[in-house]
Amino acid sequence: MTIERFILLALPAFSIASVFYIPKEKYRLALISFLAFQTITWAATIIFVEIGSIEYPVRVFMRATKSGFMHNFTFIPMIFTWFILLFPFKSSLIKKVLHYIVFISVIVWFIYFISFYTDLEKFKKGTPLSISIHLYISYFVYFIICHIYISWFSKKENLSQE
Amino acid sequence: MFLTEKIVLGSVWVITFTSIWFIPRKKASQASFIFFSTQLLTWSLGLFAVDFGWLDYPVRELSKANATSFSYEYFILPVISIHFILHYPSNKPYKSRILYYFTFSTALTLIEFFIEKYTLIIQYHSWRWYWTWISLSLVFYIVTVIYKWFYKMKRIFSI
Repeated sequence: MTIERFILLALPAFSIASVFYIPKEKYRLALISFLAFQTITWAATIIFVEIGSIEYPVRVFMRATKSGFMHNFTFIPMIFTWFILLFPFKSSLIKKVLHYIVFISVIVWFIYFISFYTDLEKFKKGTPLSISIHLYISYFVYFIICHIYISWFSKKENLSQE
Repeated sequence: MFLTEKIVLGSVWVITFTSIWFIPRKKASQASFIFFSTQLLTWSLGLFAVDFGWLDYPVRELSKANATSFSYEYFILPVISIHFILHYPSNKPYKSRILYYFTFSTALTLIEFFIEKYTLIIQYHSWRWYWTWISLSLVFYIVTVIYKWFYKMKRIFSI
C-alpha cells in the first residue's frame, strides 16, 4: 500500500472515528457545521482545480472528478466541526484568536505536508511561501464566514453552543 | 456551440434562483439546513453514478474539474428539496402524502427524460429513467428523515 492510499483510507477513518467523541447533545451543532463547511471547501476546490492552480493526481472517483473528495468532503469539514465544538465562547479574545490559528494551522500544514511529500495534491502556481500565505488567508476567510453562519443558525434554532 | 444546452441550463438556473424568493424569510435557517444536507447526498450519489459510468454530463459547468453536473448537484436539486420539505403536507392523509412524493419525483424524472432525449446535458449509458425516479424519491425521503431528526419532530421514519 502506498502512502497516498494509506492517507486516503485514514482520512475518512479518522473523520468517522471522531464522530464517536462528539457529545450527544452537540450532534445537531456538529452536523450543521460539517455540512456548511463542506459546501464551501468542496465548491472552492472544484473552482481551484478548474482554473488550474491545484491538481490531485491520486484521488478517489478518478473518473467523476479531478478534485480531492476525501480531503475536501470529509476531512477538512470534520476539522471545522471540531473547531466549532471546542470553541471557547467564554474566554478572552486572545484565546479565541489562538483557537482560530491552531485549527487553521492544522489544515494548512496538513495540505502543505501532503503537497510536498505525496502525490495527493500538487500546487501548480506559486512558491512555497506564497502557497502557505494563500492557504492561511483563504481558510481564515472560510472559517470566518462559516462561523458567522453557525452563530446565526444556532441562535435561531437554539442549539446550545456552550 | 451547444446553444440549446446553454439556454436550457441558463433558464433552469434563472427559474431556480427566482424560486428562492418564494421561500419564507422566517424559514431561512430551515431552508439552509435542507440545502446543505441535500448536497451531502447528491454529491456522493452523483459522483458514484458518474464514476461507475452509468451516465455522463457532456455539457456542464466547470467541466475540467468535475464530470458531474455542478449546477444540478450544487444548486438545483438542493433548492427543489427545500421546496419539497417546506411545503410538505404533513397534516394531510396518507394518500395525498404519497401523491406528493409521486408528483415531485415524476415531474423531475420527466424533465430529465426529455433533457436526456433532446440535449447533451445528460446522457444515460446503463442508467434508466426509473433509476432517476427511485433515487430522487430516496433522496427526498432521506433528507426528510434527517430534517425531522434535526428539528426533533415525531415519527421521523414515516412519510
